[in-house]
Amino acid sequence: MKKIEESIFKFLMVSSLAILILALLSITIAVFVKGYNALSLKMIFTTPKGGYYLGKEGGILNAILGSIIIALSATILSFIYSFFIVFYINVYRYSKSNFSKSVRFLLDLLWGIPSIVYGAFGFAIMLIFKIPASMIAGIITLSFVILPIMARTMDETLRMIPFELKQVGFSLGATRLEISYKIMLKQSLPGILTAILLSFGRGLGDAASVLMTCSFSDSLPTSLLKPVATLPLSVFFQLSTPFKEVQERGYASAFVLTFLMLFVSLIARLCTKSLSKNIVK
Amino acid sequence: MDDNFFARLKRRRVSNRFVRRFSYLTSLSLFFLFALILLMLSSEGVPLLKEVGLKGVFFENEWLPTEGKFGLFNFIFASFYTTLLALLFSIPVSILTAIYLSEYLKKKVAMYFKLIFDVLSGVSPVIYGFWGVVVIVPFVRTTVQPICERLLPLRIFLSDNKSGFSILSASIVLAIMVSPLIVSISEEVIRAIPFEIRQSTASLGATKWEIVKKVLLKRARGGIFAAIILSFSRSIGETMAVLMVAGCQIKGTPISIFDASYPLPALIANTFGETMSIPLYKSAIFLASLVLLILTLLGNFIGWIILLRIEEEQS
Repeated sequence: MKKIEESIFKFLMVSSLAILILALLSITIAVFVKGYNALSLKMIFTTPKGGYYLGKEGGILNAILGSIIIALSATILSFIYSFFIVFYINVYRYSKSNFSKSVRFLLDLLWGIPSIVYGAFGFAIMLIFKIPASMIAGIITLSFVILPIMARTMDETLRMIPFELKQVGFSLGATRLEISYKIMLKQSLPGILTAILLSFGRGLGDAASVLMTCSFSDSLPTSLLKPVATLPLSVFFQLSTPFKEVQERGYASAFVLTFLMLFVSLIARLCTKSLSKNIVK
Repeated sequence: MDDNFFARLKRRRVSNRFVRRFSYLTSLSLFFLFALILLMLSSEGVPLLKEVGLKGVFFENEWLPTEGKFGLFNFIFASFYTTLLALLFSIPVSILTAIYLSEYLKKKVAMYFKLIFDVLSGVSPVIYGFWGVVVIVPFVRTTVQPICERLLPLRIFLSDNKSGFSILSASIVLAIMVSPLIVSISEEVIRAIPFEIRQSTASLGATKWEIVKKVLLKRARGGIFAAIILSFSRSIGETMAVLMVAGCQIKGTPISIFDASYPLPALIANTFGETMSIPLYKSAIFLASLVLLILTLLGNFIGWIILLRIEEEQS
């Protein structure tokens, strides 16, 4: 009886794992098969002609460039912001102090806020200052979305650094600033890089916040004050049209987006490995 | 000890103090940002509450912005319906997977699976939506719906919406999206249970499954509960994937799992552009965002408090 129960549940466990893996596999296959057929050089290197929703000619260059620019700028902004926070709560305060704990908890809460709410927040601010949908609004909103991801990932690596290393620094008479950049920064470099790449990947894929703040556009991103196209929205809009040619652009966007995100996350993992030679554990 | 030395010492101290103050303010500004988000959304959303009243917003299901009727009930109901159905699918599957990864597989093999989950949980929600549109929706339309209608003609399986864009499709997509989260948290919680406990239970003659069922699951239930709460708030706020597959039609309260639905985040994403001209309409959209914010904050608050307490118990 015991044995039967054990084997039933073992079977259920294996099939659960199989279901999840199959579903994830099916996502990858769907994206790559559909996208590969739609992909061509023209698709990558031209912008849509005659409107992204109706025009049947052209490609997705506007979305590729727009996504990369927006995600990159948002990553830089939120990196600068979270850098100070993370080093403050780990070097200037003890990692386990109440202040550090509450900042960490707040970051966890911020992480859980859906990106559409950040979008609405950005939209509310744009309404007050009468800013139209523009690249700059998208960048700022997106940087709030990825801020908690960036800060918490960096924080996790800084927290893992042994306290003795800091102690040695103090005993040599270093100020906390010097400890920050001479010890902590070096020790946490791979972690910081991972954080940056992870947030960049998240920024590439986030759609709800940019939907509300920087709209969509047919042209290449040229000005901070104009709407800009992004890959996720390119998938979303162009998939919902009745025209096959336009849907192809959606498939191609999905392919490029997935490819970029997988590529970034692969690099993140490789970097962590190759840079962690000098880390004291 | 020349003057140069003291000058340098002073410079070091001054720069240290400057950075300390600056980063202190930066850290504090995070609290300010949080307050600002709450404040902005409530100041924009509350005018509607004042105008229409709590009952008119949350318990009315008529959504006719041009006539001044802003009942959010259907949207909130659809959100809960989709999310709870998604959790119904993903909880058993994820917990069984988590047990399998932590108890039955070698650590190295389990790490590979976790890596796959990790990478794919980072993929854009739009890609999940894409998958929903090209795989799940046709599957529901051509296979699941006809079979259910024939075999189980119950109210929840009957619907005149034959498009496949439905609550069921949305919750399948959501279930796959949040499963990696539940798996990774539960796996970590189960793995963190001390090895001695397994050993001593095994020495009493328990089989592996009995250890899992009678000891590990009991000890890990707090963490698993936290994982479920966190994935609840993750999926109730999920926008793009749901928007793409849920159908998004305003057609009464959805009852059947094959009905099209219009969850709260999808409402915000779809209508914010049209709302500028009618002040109350605008207010309704921000109120919807506020409701979403409060629901997700509540979920995250409970989830993280539980996880923090577990972490503190262990250290």
